[in-house]
Amino acid sequence: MKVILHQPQRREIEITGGKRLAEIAKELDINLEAHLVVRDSTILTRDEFVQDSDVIEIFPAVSGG
Amino acid sequence: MLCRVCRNKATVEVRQHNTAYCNNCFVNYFLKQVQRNIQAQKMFSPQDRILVVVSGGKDSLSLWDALIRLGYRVTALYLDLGINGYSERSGERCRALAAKTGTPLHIMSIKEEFGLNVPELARKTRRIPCAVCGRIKRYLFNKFALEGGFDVVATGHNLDDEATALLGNLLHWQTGYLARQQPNLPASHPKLVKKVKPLYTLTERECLAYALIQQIPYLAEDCPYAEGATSITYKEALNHIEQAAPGTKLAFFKGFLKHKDLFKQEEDLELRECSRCGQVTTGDLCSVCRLWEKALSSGNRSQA
Repeated sequence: MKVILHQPQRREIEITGGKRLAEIAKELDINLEAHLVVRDSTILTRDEFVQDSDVIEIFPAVSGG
Repeated sequence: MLCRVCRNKATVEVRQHNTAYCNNCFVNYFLKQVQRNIQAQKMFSPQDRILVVVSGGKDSLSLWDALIRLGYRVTALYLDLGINGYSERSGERCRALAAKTGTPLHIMSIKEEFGLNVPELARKTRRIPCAVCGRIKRYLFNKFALEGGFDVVATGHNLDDEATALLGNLLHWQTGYLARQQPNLPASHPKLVKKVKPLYTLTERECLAYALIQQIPYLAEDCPYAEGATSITYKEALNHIEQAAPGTKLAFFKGFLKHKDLFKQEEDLELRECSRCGQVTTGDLCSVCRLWEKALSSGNRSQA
């Protein structure tokens, strides 16, 4: 599956899908309290199952200085 | 996971309230929170003229959108800081939301007001850009609001901003700042306009969710000078705690508001008008005029 990270520069990585978002976040060391994950323009909850054929985008919430 | 209101599939989990919403119910929840904060803190009424200060980021643009949807009389102000590239892109996003919503937007250029932009002012006064920027922004939006007859200035500070500022003030025991930190700062002088933060109970993540769902054209780019800022480290630390104990940030800030009198200061500083520009200060010259004089003397030195 493809993961598009906006950090804020766009970066793409490939990982193995077929698991829940909470597991993916743990694998990528992404804190879901500080990020939102979107698939097909829909925000996902942590229990959502993500297929290997899916594309997800990860948006950071933290900003400022 | 199901939406707590309509029982359709949830999209946004809000762990600090141990709940989740679908897109439509989340937008309703967000707007209700903003409305509740405005009323609970007596920020403003539907008759008031509100100046919302926007940066082009998700928080201030979400606040602007929410206030319009709640039916308030809102005008937006974008302060062009003159930061190469970043300011142009930020301004474009503000103009895009103004066009989308059909609401008034004013643009004030720091270069046009002072003859120098923020990076130039920082360089000439040998200060870090963030210190110069905050001071200039507060000065200009107060001046604009006062001259324009606005009742109140609203900013997009959210729960993460407030909890982070609180953590920083506590770590360094900034008792003066602790005494003044609040979501509703009344006008303490006829030349100071009341300042409010209607998003103070909503997390940055909730503001991002609102911006994504409402398709707000925000700029997802940090100011180049924010890189390595201590406040970002504090935000990450608080989010680390929040992950393990949801609701900590909200309890931290609400608890502070409840116990705020602990930091109350007996002696209030005497406010007067700056001898140069007439804005409010505690000394003879206000901090912006002092900054300006330092920049001018630096220019004179380099010309000599």
